[in-house]
Amino acid sequence: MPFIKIDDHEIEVDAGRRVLDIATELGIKIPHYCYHQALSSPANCRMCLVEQVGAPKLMPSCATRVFPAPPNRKTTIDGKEYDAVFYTASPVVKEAQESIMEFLLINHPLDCPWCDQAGECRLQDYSYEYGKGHSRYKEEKRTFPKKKLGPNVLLYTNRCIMCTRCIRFCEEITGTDELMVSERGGKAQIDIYSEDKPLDNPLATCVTDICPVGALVSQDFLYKPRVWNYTRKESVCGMCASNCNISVDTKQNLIYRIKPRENQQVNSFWMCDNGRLGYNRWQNDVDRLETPMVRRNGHLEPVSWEEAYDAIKNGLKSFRNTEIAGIASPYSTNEENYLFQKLMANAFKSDQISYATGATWEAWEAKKSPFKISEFKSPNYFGAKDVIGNRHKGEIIEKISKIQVKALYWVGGNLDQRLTDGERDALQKLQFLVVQDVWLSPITEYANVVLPATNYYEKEGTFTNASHILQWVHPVVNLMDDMKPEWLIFIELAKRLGGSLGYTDIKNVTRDMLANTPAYKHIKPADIGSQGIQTRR
Amino acid sequence: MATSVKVLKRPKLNLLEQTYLPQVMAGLVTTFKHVPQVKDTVSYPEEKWIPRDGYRGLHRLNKDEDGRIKCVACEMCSSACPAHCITIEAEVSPWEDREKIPKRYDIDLLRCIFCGMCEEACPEDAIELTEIYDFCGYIREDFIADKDTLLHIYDLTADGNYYRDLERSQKLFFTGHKGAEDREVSPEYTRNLLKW
Repeated sequence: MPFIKIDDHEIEVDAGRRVLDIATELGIKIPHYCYHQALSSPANCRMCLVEQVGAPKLMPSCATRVFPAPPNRKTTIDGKEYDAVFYTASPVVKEAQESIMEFLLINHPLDCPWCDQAGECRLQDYSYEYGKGHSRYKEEKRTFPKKKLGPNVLLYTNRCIMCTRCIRFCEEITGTDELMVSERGGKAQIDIYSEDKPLDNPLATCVTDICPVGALVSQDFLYKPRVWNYTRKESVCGMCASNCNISVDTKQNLIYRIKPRENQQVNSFWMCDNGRLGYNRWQNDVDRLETPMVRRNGHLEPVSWEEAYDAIKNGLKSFRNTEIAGIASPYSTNEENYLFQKLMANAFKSDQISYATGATWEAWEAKKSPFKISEFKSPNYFGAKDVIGNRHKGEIIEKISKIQVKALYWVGGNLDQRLTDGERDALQKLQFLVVQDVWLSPITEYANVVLPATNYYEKEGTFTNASHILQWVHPVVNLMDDMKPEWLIFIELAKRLGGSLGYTDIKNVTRDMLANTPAYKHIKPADIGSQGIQTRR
Repeated sequence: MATSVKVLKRPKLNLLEQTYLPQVMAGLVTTFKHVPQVKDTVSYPEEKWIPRDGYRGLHRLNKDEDGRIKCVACEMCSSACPAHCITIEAEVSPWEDREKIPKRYDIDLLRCIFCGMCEEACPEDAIELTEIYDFCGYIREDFIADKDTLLHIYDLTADGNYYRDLERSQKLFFTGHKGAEDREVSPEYTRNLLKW
């Protein structure tokens, strides 16, 4: 193994590693634009230059790898022999960094006041830390008009420093090859090959995350409030069963932007546009249910929680235990499904419980990386399967059709809820239906009592993804005034029906859920951590 | 530590001093000396004090040569504001030469401490504090100056002669710009006023 020295650190490292990666691990900051951990390194921004003892000129640390030197080529410093010696902050390096910054800023329009990247821009940060503070360039700057590369991505070529991260992303991650450099020299610019093939792959907006400057910006985030105004909260995305890790930028209880968070075993650095823009649908397009409702004279009327609980209690009084069934939701957390199961068992004395599949449509896989968008558009389909057991809702629908089951508690949560004709017929035969849903879905048409449910931006608990990785979900926005977290609804309802579940907070529920679910038996809540845990051994 | 107390003796007054007349006379001399002098007091609101340059009064949003709003909604002012009284929402600019303009620009004047940090932070010289010091409103909402109000204040103060032009400044200035001129003082208004 090569024995190297970087600044004051002496370290033995694996052969073939990049100097930049080693330095980052040692806590030495080397500025860089074009290098990204998940992509190849063309070393074209020249910002990461370091001094190597014995080398004729400065070396780009992102493309320089360390190997054992032959005995006659070792570097000796103070009587010690090294395979390589690097200095990252020597006067030569600092001078180079200043000059590179001056070069990169030659054509920069300095339009920070209306650039969406301002506040998290590497040009800003590095100008401050490594720049000269002034420019000697007096000639006219080149200008290009802004351009729409795809439905979600805008390109401001003026701000571009030609690091080609976006091109490499389309080549090496999605494998869709939409982007290229057109023209040469001072006219070089990022472009799409033709107007017929826009940048519209499912991961397209990720190029705005990896763009180190404000050249590629998200159409969705255009001219939203400045980045430093947000509260950043971490959670996982619930738009499909892949459960990408996300950080959500919120302000005054509204979501303004969702960005992917690194998790190598789940989503690497990426997330799909569907998940990224999915919050718009919840915030702007859907009429959310906010209060409990009870059907009186054929119409659903808003009532208080107490009245709704009473309506459920009175409605279910006349049925035998075998006539009551429940359908759990793949949109609920594992904790909620566990409590729902407990509620059915303790309060209704019924073990007829199953889970719905939720929305599904075509899966998508990146050609050049393991990133996959699951075909299950519910966040916790696999968790529901683990917690409820392998019991699909078809059996229960069949029993309803045969009038063996007369009362049903259906937990929804699906924004794309559709009912088959068979299900419609079955629901019509029901004598009492309780629905817990996020909107006035087709199921609520048949409901006697409707309770407002929460979405995955409001839930707390755990989800299990398509690769069976269990992860924490954190609420990123607060609930509306009248709403309650779903786990609390089950606890309160059980208490009202005389079968208390004995919980007061969600932490104990997680503990018991893990202990009582066969697939999760070996996991403790503390094991889950910020990156999740694989449940299959 | 022993404290030493110095006991003063009350001076004895002579006969003339006991009449108090010399002191009264001396006081009156001072009074009459001031009678012919120029007075600093102005009889507000018929007369109005003219502030010096750099006075930090009511805000305005400047316009460029074409009469368009100068602000580009960069939120530097609201970021610099120690009282957090500026709210900005941006939209796409209809003009070629800039990217975005404010859709909404509100200043809560009741929160504002008139420190002038917004003016200093502005990279476009778009927000400025004017000389206007007397502005009023009936309800709290009147003191939330919106974009139109702030642009209107620019029209009033662009020439810097707001208080020199008596006719202009004689009108009571409502910060609640929306139809403030013909707003009647309804019982509801008075109720609101009393509530606060």
